[in-house]
Amino acid sequence: MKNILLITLLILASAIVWADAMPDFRLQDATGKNVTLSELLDGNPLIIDFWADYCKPCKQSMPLLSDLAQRYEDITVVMISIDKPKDQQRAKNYLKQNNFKFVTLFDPDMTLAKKLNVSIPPHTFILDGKGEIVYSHKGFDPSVMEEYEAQIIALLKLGEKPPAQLEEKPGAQLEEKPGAQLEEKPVPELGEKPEPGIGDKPEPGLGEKPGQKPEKKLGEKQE
Amino acid sequence: MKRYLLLFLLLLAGLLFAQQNLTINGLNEAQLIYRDAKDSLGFYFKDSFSFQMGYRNFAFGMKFVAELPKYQNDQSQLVHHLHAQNLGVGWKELFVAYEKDAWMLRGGTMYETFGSGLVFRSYEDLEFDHDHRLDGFHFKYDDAFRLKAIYGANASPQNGNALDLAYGLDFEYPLWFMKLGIAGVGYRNLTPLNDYSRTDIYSGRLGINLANLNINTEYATRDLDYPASPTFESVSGSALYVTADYSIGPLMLGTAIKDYDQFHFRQQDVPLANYHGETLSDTQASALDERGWQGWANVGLGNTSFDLNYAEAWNKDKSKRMNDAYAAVQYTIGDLNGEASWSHVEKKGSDLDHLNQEIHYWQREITPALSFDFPAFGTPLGVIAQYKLVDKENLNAEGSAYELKSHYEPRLQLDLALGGHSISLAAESKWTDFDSILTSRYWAGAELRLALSNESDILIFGGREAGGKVCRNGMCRYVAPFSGLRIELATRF
Repeated sequence: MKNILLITLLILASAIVWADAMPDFRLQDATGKNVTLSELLDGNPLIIDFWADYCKPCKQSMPLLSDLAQRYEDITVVMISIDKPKDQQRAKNYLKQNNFKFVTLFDPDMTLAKKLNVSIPPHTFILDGKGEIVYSHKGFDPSVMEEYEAQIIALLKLGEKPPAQLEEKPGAQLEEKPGAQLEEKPVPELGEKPEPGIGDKPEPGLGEKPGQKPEKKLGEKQE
Repeated sequence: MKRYLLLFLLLLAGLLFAQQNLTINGLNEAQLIYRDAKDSLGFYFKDSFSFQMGYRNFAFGMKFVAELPKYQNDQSQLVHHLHAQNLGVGWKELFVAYEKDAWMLRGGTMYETFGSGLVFRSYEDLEFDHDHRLDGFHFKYDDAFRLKAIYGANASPQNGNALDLAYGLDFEYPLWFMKLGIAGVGYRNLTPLNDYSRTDIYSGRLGINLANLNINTEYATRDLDYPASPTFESVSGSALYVTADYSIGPLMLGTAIKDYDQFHFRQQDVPLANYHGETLSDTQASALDERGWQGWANVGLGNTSFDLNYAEAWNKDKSKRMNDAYAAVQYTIGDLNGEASWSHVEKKGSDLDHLNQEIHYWQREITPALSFDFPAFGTPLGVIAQYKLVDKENLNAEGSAYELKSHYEPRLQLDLALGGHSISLAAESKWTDFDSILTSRYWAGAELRLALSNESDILIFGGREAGGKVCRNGMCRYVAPFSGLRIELATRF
């Protein structure tokens, strides 16, 4: 009996230390085009946030997530709406009106949400470059942004590099990414308040559709 | 022998765990409830356990629920419903699925929508506690075009031991900046005479998606026949729903039009074309007889944004009317977020009461609200002040009022985040007039949320709440009217 108990505990322990992989998904964006997880994964961190139009804390988080995406240009923020199909238009309009630089997807039947045990919005997941879930958080209050930022810094391994290198990185990447804003920004320290005001809304690049990250071609598979 | 068998199963489970392609996740929601109402149970326990397993392209999931029947809003029915023998225990959701690239085949409980939900939707509505999920087969191909096929059944409302059937096909094709779609759905529903009616529905839809302009339109027809009961008349109906928006710089303008005539059936979720999602009448399904329009405008100017939304609806002979309005201004400066909003819903018309006598009704709800979020003493703090005015009047056929209700529902909510934990305090009352402010009853409610880990959190609520959509402690969800103590433990794995 003791052996069985021991084996059971070992199995449970192995399950507990297992890293959670984000299940692959195929969801529509605001234009009706399909987007899959593998298309979004480019080796850099991903923030996936489930939201709904009726959810005020979700909307409260958006300017702060947008600001985070602007300061760490390697990361991609994906907003997944779980609004009912009949309420989708309102969700689309909200994102369009605010001009956030998110990848916006729709999960009206909660297919992905159920796989991730998301029942109440907002629910946020931070993924590493391989698609493993390294952090998740249910609900939102502004203080949680510090934790999100710490997770992003850890994933980008910015903390290991001297400040000079930190400042070089965004600039070097900006040249590679067409449509990105040509403004070099220093990477802030952990917990530092964002420089722009919370309500500041990023302007889209030339010829870029709102809600879509400029450097990604969502219809194309990543090599 | 049993020991070896168990050991073998555990080893097998261990080997499966070792597979890179195996994913297991689940959610357990346990509630301990004490309701401040007369019933036979006092404290009781409720649990919902859902479990999903994926291996390569296969998925399997189930949900186990142990609960009492949902509480009725009608207090007089509480005692009748809350008996231990009414405890419901069972698997409420079960499915197996195969998914590979653009293909999906699923058997079991399904969640699916064709178009906007006008002609078909298999879903569970937590807000109104409706379960419209089908059990059956579900096929989907989603790549250069979208093809969905469903065949399923659910318990008939006429007789819980019999089934209603649904089957359908939906096809959508993207063409340049457009989306073209067609759908055909059939329903077989049990009638009160214990035979089946036949409903055939066909729809076409068009979506136009340009940089500044979006238009979506859907038109559908419905034919209902009673092949086995010629005494019932056949019914033909139609539905039209159009929505369009246009943006010019920071200004967005939009409109929606609905025209529903004899288009009501169970597996649908019709767009209502108004801000608050209100039906024309509380006693009539929207798709039966409802027309209307909605217009909205949003503008963002620096740190300030404005929302305006207005809608009207009426029935064919205009004996029922409603209007719905919403206006809001949001202001953000630094860490301070403020919002002032004004909601207005008004309904007027004639209806039949429980004695089948015609009454004329008029009801209005006006809700001004103010909310602020700001940091105080290094902690995020949210304050919501809401004040609802409710007027209701019913007139009998002679035009004399026999029911007139008018009251105010003020509500104040304070949300405070403390590290990973948060607390929400609310106070509300019901005043019949301003003179009764001091003599009216006041209710208080507090919800404490403790994040035990990334995977587990506990919610403790004490007090009274009116129910509906509630946003507090950084989350939004639908709750039933409640008075008492509730402890909820949610664990994800």
